[in-house]
Amino acid sequence: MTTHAGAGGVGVGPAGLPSFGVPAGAGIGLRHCHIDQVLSEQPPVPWLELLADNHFADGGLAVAQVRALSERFPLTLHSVGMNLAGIDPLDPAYLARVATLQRQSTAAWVSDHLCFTAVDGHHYHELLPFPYTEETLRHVAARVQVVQERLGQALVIENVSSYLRFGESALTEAEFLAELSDRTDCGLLLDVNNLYVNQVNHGVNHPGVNHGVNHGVNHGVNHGEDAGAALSVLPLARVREIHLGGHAPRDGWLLDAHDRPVAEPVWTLYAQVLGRLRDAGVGPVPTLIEWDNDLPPLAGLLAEAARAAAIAEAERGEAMPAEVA
Amino acid sequence: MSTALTRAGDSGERPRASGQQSSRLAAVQRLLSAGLDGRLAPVQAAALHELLAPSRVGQAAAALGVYRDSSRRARERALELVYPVCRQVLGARCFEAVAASLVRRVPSRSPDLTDLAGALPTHLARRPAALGPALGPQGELGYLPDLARLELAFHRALFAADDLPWDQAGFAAAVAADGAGRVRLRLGAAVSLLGSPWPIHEIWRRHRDRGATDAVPAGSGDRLVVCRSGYRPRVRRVSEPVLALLDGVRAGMTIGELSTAGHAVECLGGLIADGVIVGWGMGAGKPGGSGLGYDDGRAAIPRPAPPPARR
Repeated sequence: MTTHAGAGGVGVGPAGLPSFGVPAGAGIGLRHCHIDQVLSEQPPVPWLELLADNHFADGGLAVAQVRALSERFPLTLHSVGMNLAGIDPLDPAYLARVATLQRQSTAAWVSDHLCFTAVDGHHYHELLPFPYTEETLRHVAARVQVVQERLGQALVIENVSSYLRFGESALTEAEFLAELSDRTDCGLLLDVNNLYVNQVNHGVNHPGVNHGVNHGVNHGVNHGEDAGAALSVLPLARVREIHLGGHAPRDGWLLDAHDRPVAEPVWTLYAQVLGRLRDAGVGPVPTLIEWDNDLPPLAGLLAEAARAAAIAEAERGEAMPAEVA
Repeated sequence: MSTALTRAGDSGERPRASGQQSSRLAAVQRLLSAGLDGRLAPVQAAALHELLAPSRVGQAAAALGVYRDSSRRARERALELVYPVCRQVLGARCFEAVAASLVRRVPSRSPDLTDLAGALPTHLARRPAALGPALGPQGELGYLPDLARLELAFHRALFAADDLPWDQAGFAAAVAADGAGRVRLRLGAAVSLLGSPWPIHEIWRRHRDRGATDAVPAGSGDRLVVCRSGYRPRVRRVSEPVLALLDGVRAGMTIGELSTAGHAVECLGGLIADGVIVGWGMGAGKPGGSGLGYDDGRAAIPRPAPPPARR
């Protein structure tokens, strides 16, 4: 595997990827109920992400809104239906809609998830897990390459929350993503909440290791999902974007619910992620607040984004030499 | 990375084309799919259990339930978004039961949840017994399938393609050269035609505007055109001859054929001015247009005797 640590720098994208094109500040995932307000008030949010599937339209207000937003804010697109790990053929109509929206929005990049969403033409509208093996790696890599050729740019792929794991997995999700990005030159979307959720749901292999930094790398079957170990494995210079969202407890599980503020342990892990990015020589990375259900007023989202920005600012302050700081 | 991994490029192996399947991965995904759908045979359940690694939190069945609930909820939420008035009429709990019934019986065949939502009117019409006596043709809520068709047409109109302005000069030139009789007209991309023996427009309007649940006079049923003015969908009540005329246009009849069939061609000018008819073409074939009111396969607009007054 290529080692990417130290390869990046401020404002410079990973090798093989175009420059980021999105400010490194904290943006928000924009949902329909806030679009009019954002367009009229133009709050000082550095960038916005659109959930692509909610904006597919042949015409009408939806297209006009996307164009208006693109004139006022840097945009990215987050998609949920590419079915990257699926066994069904990639859906050309779906990819065409993503490509059209990409043109309409002039989005800096398009992201989707490391998962499958459909089998034999049945769509589950859910981010479903699959075994992480050499065979599935070849399969997903081939599909990511097709998507990237169709979109004409590197795809950005997100780690997911999971509630099931497969005994036959020979890799952790982080190892899988590292190798996938190496083979395809895709970018990575690091969802910090998902790292935390998986750590809680699946446990940590090594006693005494918390969700802080763990430089050990687990190989072999039945890995735990230690967030620190994942950060040690992921090629951090390929991280284009960070997601932060709220999770919900249910029967001992943590669910990636996106229905509440970011939890305190996730904020703590976020600060640690920023430190790891800094140590790896990676410049500031755009961070996004994701909130999809039980949405608060826009001000609530902006407050979460402000907190993320403050943490990033503090992290940068700590990183500066004392005489400069 | 694991040394067990071999890069495709190193081995000279070409990555598989996207449509080719990994048989092992396919088997795993199909098992998981069956588990999500609750159609696992005992032997399959055992196989799936064998595949899964122990979790710190709970058993595989519980984890499967997390995915199942989330998947079901995503689909039900899409129905709530497309059918707010039906939900208001039924109440949240009853609508949830109807949505759950649809999700159980109708698989989602598209990444676009609107496609799944499009199955609700037919589901309501075909399975009234399963949904309760109130939804039967003679029941208190017998109008619900048609109300759902109206909401679906309204939702689709929001996202329909923008039409080019009517080309009056080109149309006049074509008529001068070949005569109007050979011209085929085209409906706007947002246009749907709906016919119902129920006063669904008034039911829809009252619920939408003010959440009203008072009785609506039955009248003689509704003939509706859903279209769009600029960005705003509109629902227009039209006469039976105008609906039949538009149905002929949608079917690809030429102006000559419409006239010969006795349709109200004198109304075409007004429909063009209103943006319901947006384009034209010469020669054979349909020039396009949507007939979303007929997505469920109805061959003609039904016009049974009007029902009694409903809320």
